[in-house]
Amino acid sequence: MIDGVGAPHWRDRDGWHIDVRGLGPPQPMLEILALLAAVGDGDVIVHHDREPIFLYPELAERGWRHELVPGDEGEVRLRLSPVAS
Amino acid sequence: MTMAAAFLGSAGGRLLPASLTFRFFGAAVVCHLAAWICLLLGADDLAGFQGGGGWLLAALHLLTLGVFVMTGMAASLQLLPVATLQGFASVRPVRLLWWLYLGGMLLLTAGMGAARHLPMAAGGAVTVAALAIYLWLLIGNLRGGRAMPAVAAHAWAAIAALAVLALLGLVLIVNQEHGFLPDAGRAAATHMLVAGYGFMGLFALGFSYVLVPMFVLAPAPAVRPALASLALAVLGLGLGAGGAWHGRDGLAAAGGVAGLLAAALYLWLMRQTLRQRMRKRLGPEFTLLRIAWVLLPISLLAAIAWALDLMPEDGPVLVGLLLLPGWLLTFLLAILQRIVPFLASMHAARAVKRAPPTVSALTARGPLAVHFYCHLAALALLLAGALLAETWLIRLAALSGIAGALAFALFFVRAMLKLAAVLRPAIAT
Repeated sequence: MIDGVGAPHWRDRDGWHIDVRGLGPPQPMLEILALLAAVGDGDVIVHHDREPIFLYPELAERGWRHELVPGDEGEVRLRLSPVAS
Repeated sequence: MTMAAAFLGSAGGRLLPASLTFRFFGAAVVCHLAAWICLLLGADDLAGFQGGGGWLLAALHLLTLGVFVMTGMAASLQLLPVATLQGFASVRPVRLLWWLYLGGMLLLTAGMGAARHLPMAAGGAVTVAALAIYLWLLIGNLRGGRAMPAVAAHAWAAIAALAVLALLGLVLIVNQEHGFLPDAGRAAATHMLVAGYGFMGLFALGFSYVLVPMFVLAPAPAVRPALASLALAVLGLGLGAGGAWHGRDGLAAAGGVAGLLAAALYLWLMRQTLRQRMRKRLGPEFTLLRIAWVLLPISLLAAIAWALDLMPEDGPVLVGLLLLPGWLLTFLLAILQRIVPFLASMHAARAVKRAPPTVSALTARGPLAVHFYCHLAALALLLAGALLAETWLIRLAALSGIAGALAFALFFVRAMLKLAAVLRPAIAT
C-alpha cells in the first residue's frame, strides 16, 4: 500500500488500480494525483462513478493522458498513462 | 461490462459547450473594461454619489451586472452540475439566457449612461426576465442534485438575495420617474448591500468552497463551520438590509457585526484549506485572492462605521468602493485568472487526448502582471480620490483601471485563441 493514498488501491498485471467511487469532490482528484506522484510511471486504472473532468488539466500539467475504457455497470473507468509512453 | 456502461456518468451531460461558457466570461472581460471607461466619463459624480442616472451609475452596473453576474452565471452553470452531479436537461435555456441577459444588461446600462428612463426601464425589465430564467435553471439543478451541502446552501441563499435585489432594482428604476419612495437613498443603499454582500457575496463564499480546494489541491472545507458562516451571513444581511431600509443605524451595525463573524469563519476555513494543500507553489492569482480576502473584513468594518455615523461625509461611497471594486472585483479577477485557463485546458483535454495545452501554457503571465499592478493602483487611487474628493485622482484611477482591463483582455484573448487552435482541428475531424 502507498502512503498518502487513502482510497482503495492495488497492483494488477495492467498497472496500478485505484477505486475512488463514492468520494465527494475534490477527494477523488487528490487521491488519484497522490497515487500518480507515488508510482511515477506505468499505467494507472481509475475506477470512478463519474467522468473526472476537472482532473484533466492536472493530468496535462503533469504529463499524463487519459482514456475512457469499458468498465462495470455504473462505473466510469479510465486508463491514465504518461504521455511519453 | 459494456461500452455504454463504461460511459455512464460521462461529463457530456454535465458540461456546457466551451463556446457557451466562454462567451459569458468574455462578456465579463469586456464589461470590466467598459466599467472603467464609464467611470472615467462620470468621475465628476463620484463624490456624494447616491444613485440617479449618468455614467457613474452605468459604470456601477457594468461592474455588478456585467462583470459579477456574468462571471457568476458562467461559473455556476459550469461548476454547479459537477458539484450536484446533475446536468441541465438542455442547453437551449442557457442560450436564451445569454441573449436575453446580454441585451437587457446593455440596454439598461446604456439607458443609465444616457440618463434616459425608457431604455433603462425596458432594459431593467428584460434583465429581470433573464435573471428569472437563470433562477429557474439554478433551482432546477439544486433541487434534483446531490450537491455538496455547503455549496448548495450558499447557492439557495444567493438565489433568495438575487430575487430581492432584482425587485429592488426595478422599484428604484420606476421611482426615478415617479418618485414614490420616501427615501430613495436608503433604498439604493439596501439594493447595494443585498447585491454586494447578498447575491454576489454569498456566491463568492459558496464557490470558494469548491474552487479554492480544487485550485490548491486540498480537501473540501468542513461543512458545519461553512454552514455556520452562512447562517451568520444571512442574519447579518437581514439585519443590515433591514436597518438600511428603515434607517435603523443600530440594526444595520448589528448586521455588519454578524457579517464580520461570518467573514471570519469563512477566512479561517480558507486558511485551513491553504494549509492542507498539495500544490506547494501557488500562482500570482493567489496574491490577488489574498488581497481580496483582506478587503472583505475591511469593507464590513467600513459598513459598520458608516451605520454608526463614524465615517466622513462620503462614507457610503467608500463602503461601496471597498465592497465592489475592492473585495468582489479583486476576488473575481483572481478567480478568472485561474478558471479561464483551467476550463480551457479541460475542454481541450476532452477534445484531444494527447498533450492538450496545459493551464500554464494558456496563462499569459506578462499581461496578468501588468493587470495586477494597474488594478491595485486603480483601487488605491479610487479610495484616495473618494476620501479627498479629488476628481483628478478618480480619473487617474479610471485610466489605471482601463490599462489593467486591457491587459486582462489580452490574457483572455490569448487563452481563447490557443483553445480555438486546439478545438478547430478536433471538431473538423
